[in-house]
Formats: sequence, C-alpha cells, structure tokens
Amino acid sequence: MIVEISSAPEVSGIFYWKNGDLMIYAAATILIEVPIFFLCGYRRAKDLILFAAVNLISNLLLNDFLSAVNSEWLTIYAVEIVVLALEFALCSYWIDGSRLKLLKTLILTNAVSFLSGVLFFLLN
Amino acid sequence: MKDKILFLYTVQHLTVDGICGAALAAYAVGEIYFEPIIFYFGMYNLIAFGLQTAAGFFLDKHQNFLRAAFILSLLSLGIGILPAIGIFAQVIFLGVGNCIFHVTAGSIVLQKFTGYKELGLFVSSGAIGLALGLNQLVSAQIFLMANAALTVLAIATFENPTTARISISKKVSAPIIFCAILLLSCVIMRGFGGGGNSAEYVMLFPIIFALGKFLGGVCCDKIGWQNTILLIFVLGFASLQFEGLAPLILLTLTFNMTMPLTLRLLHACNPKFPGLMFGLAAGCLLPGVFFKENFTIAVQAMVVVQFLILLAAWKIFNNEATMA
Repeated sequence: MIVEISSAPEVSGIFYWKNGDLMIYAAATILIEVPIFFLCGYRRAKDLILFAAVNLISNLLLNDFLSAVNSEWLTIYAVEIVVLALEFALCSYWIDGSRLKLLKTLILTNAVSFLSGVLFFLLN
Repeated sequence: MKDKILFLYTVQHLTVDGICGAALAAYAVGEIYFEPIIFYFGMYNLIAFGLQTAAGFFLDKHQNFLRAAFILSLLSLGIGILPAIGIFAQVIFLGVGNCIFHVTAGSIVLQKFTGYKELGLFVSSGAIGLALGLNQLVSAQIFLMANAALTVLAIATFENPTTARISISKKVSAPIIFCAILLLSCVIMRGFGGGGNSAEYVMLFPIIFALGKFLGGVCCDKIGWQNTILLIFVLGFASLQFEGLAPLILLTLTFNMTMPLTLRLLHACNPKFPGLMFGLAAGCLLPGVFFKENFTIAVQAMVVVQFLILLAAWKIFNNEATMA
C-alpha cells in the first residue's frame, strides 16, 4: 500500500440535476440522436431506450468535463472521439447485430448532434 | 487448507504494511521539518514499490527461494523498526522487507487461486494495516510480533505453488503485450485518482480501499469480468451525480474494485512470471504518488477512460486466450 501524506479532504459532486443547462443539452442530444438511430434500423423499443440512456450518460459526462477544462476545439474533438468509443462500448453490451453497422450508426448520430450543437452556438 | 493459507497471507499483509506505517509514523511525529518527512516517505515508496518488479522477476526464476523470502522479509522489517540505525537505513530495510513480502505472497496467491475474490481479499488488508500503523493505533513492535508468528506459520505450511488452471494467453504475443500495457495504464491512472481521506474518520477510507478491492474480486467471480467493469462504470457515474462524503466513498470504492481484475488479468497475460507481473502492477502506482500534485485527471475522464481501457484489454485477451 502506497504511503501518502494526508491532505485536505476532497469532496466530489457534480450534481447534474441542479444544472439546468446540462440537462437541456442532454435532452436535445437524445431528441436528435434517437430518431436517427431508429432510422438506421434499430427498431426495438429496448434498443432505443438503452441508446437514449447511453446518450444521457455520455452527454452529461462530456459536457461536465468540457465545462471543467479549457474547451478548445482540439479538446472537443478528442473528447467527442472518446464519447463515441464510450457509446459503442456500452451499446455493445445489449444491442445485437453487426458491430460495424453499430459503429457507423453511432458515428452518424454523433456527427449530426455535434454539428447541430456547433450550429446552435454559432447562431447564438 | 488453501483458504487458511489465504487468510494467513492476508493477515500477514496487514501486519507487514502495519509495521512500515507504524515505523514511519514514529519517525514523522518526532521530525520538526516537513521536507525530510516527504523525502523519506517518497524514498520508502520508491523502494517498496519500485523494486517489486525486479524482486518478482528474481523470485519467478528462483522459486526455491520463496520460503527463504518470508524469513528475509521478516528480518528486514525487524531491523527497519529500530530507530538506532537512523531513518535512512530504516527506510531501506522497511522498503526492502515490504517489497519482498509483497512479491512473495502475491506470487503464491496468484498461482494457487483461480478466482478474483481471493486476490481481492489478499490485497485488501494492506490498506488497513498501513492506516493502523500510520495513525499509531497499533505500534510497530506489536505488528512485528504478529508478523513473526505468521511467518513461522507461513513457512510451516509452505508448498511450492503450481499455477492453477486458469484462462491464460496462448503465448506472449503483440496483442497480449498491448493488453498488459492497457492494464498497467489503468493502474497508473488509479494511482492518480484512487485515493481519498478524511481527517475526521481516519480509518474510513482505508476500510473503503480494502472493501473495494475485496468487492471487486467477489463481483468478478459472480458476474464476470465484463459485467463487473460495467458495474464499476455505472457506480462511478452514479457517484458523480451527488455531492458530499457518501458519493466520494462510492467513487473511491469503485476505483479500488478494479485492482483484483487488473492483477489477475495481468498474471494471465504472462502466467509463467507471477512475481514479475505483480511487481509491474505495484510499480505503476508510483507515478501517482510522485506526480499527483502536478498532474490531475478529471474524475469524469477517469471513470470513462478506465472503463474503455479495461474493456479493450478484456476483448484483446479473450481473442488470444486459451484454457491452461
């Protein structure tokens, strides 16, 4: 066991539910991505619900991470790739079928929501 | 009999870390300046964990030294608690004694047991022993006497370990090496964020560390590797939703749950060298010890990246593995 010098106690807690903006972004992402996911051939209610849940998780983590760091474009691109990997990994647990098709679908859904987000911020 | 041996090594682990913690604490309370404390604690960590790779490799090549290694560890720790030799020498003896014990017992546990909970149990007790020692709740002398008795038992019950039937890599191929690198990366990352402490409840987080390691092993045996890392991710995400001590405890618990998983899979990547793999894992905790203040990883990133790394490692290993 590593011997550490004690420092001040750390406290965690992002508490998404208090942050209305984060929840709005998450909801918007789900509203954009889930229909695209449906159109790509994933019609089972279970798959759609799980995909929505995965999106909620990844979106909350993404936006809170970006709000905590210096959000330059390079960081955003890098984090989006990690989010894609995360969504692919989580979806792979439950969604049957071709993994290549799943990956392509996730690239599409994430690209659309990313561009939508860029457009939204540019217009505002 | 195997369960009794596991229990023996687990308690022995507690006493070994307790000896080191208590001896270092005894020095620290008498030291006026902060800088020497930082120096000697750092030196101790460097020896105790940095040398485990080499020590583990040596023991893998000379398994007939395992029994003697227990005695050597006891002697080294016994000398290490003597203030008369000076703190510099104390740190060397304590670090070496700790190092030898860890790779010896760790190597035996990795070889004797196929499951994850045994590994989790064995590695869990060190945190408690260290906390008892560092907080001077138990003296180094008492720990040493207990360790001496346990060492006698360990030697009396010693049997040359043979690798139990586990899923192992067919050979140490490039994908397996990459798998091992991923696992070690996870260990490095854990060193930067797997800790926590409470000035008010000094034993709280050490107990959480121990519980996390044990629970990780239990979960893995019950629901499998892949589902366990998913559970760890979900619990980690859940802990980020709230503020306060309870979520921090949950987060710390989940980070520590990964330890028996990474250790077991590392061994499976190179099953002929259990001591080496155990030592490599220990050595990878060092960057977090020395550079935590200079380099922090956002907790959200840790939860996500850890999950992805472990899943990738598992997938790669499964593609390359066969049953021994």
